[in-house]
Amino acid sequence: MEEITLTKDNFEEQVLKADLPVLVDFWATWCGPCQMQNPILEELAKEMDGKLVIGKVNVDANQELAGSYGVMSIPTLKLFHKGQVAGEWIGVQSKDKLIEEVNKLN
Amino acid sequence: MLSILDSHIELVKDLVQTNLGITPKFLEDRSTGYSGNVYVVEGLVEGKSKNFVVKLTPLEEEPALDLESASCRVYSTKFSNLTPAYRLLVEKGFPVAKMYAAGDSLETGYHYQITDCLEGISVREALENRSTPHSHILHEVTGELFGLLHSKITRKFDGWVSQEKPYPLPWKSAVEEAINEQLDSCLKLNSVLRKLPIKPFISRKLNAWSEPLNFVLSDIDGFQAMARYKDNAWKITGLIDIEDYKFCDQRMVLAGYEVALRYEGLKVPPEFWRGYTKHNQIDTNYDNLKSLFELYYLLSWLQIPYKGHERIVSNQVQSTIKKFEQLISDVIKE
Repeated sequence: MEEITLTKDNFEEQVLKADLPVLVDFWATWCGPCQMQNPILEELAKEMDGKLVIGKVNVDANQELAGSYGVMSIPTLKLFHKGQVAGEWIGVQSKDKLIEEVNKLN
Repeated sequence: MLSILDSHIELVKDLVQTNLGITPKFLEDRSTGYSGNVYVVEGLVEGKSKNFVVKLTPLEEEPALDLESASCRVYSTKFSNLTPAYRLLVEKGFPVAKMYAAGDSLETGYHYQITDCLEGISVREALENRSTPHSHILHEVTGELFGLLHSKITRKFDGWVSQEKPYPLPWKSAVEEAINEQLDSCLKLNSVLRKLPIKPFISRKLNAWSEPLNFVLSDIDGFQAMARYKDNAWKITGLIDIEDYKFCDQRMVLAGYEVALRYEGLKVPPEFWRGYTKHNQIDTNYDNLKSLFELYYLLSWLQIPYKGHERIVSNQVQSTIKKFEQLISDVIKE
């Protein structure tokens, strides 16, 4: 599944009202650890196709959205399920850990 | 031959006379910090007695931005930062001692600044002293001003106030390079540290790194201000050591505040955090990275007793070093 680019205009529809859990990655182009997280999320998206959606919020283009979710440093990953934040991790996270967290939801 | 104090007294009087046109009377040596000497003088202004503070810091050549070492970027001060930092704090309405003059005394080898003399005592010294009355109230008012400062003056990149562009090296890389510079210096000096698993600790912490979205204007290792105690209450009378105010990682500043108290065997009480969070959030990754920054300070401070400093008397050098070894050993377990 492809990753979704999120903005304040589509966040509610794509994340809060989504049927599947959505892992939202708050990132920026200048952030080194975010570049490390990126391929891990691409692999995760492939492995969990049909079970999880990956959404990306560029914090520079969406400062208000990042601020409204209390994002102060990046990468920040937030797992949304049924409109609620079900998990939150800061810094680079491994694929295995994220799979384990998503599986806990079911 | 004049003692250092006598030569400073002469210089201080001369600076006040030259810059303010006042013939002052020397009152007091308040040199309690690790960098610079602070003196209080009294002079008559329009027939009224008024106290001024004169701070002297050794004249140092400042490297150009692109020649700064990572350690210089992460944890150092520059006298040229003083005036821009002072102007910014005044413009944003923060209490600071009025600055009358600042400059270089090339022939004597000092930077100098002449300011109003703020009422009260140094917050840091008060908080590090176990007998300070109602210290929890002082922590709370300190936290409030600290939080307000960190919420009101921020920008997207770290560094000096007048700096217009970010450093090319990312902040994480600068911290990594700087902490390794500090560690290498310490390992040359101290054999106990060579046996500790400091490098794996640093790697583990850097793996949990996140880049801050904003950098806060702050004293680089915590909070320096004067405070007055009156009627069972503390009031901050103004920020001091303004040359140390630059754009910093909030997590590093808060870790500096915590580790300074930890060195004295004290803990930051909940009142501080309550005061701070009235105005500002704490980075959600702070708990993960705090010990990395604490290690940075401890490695940096450990080198002071080896170099010698007037605040550490010779019979305390070994015990000071031992204390740092223990603190470093404790921090890397976190």
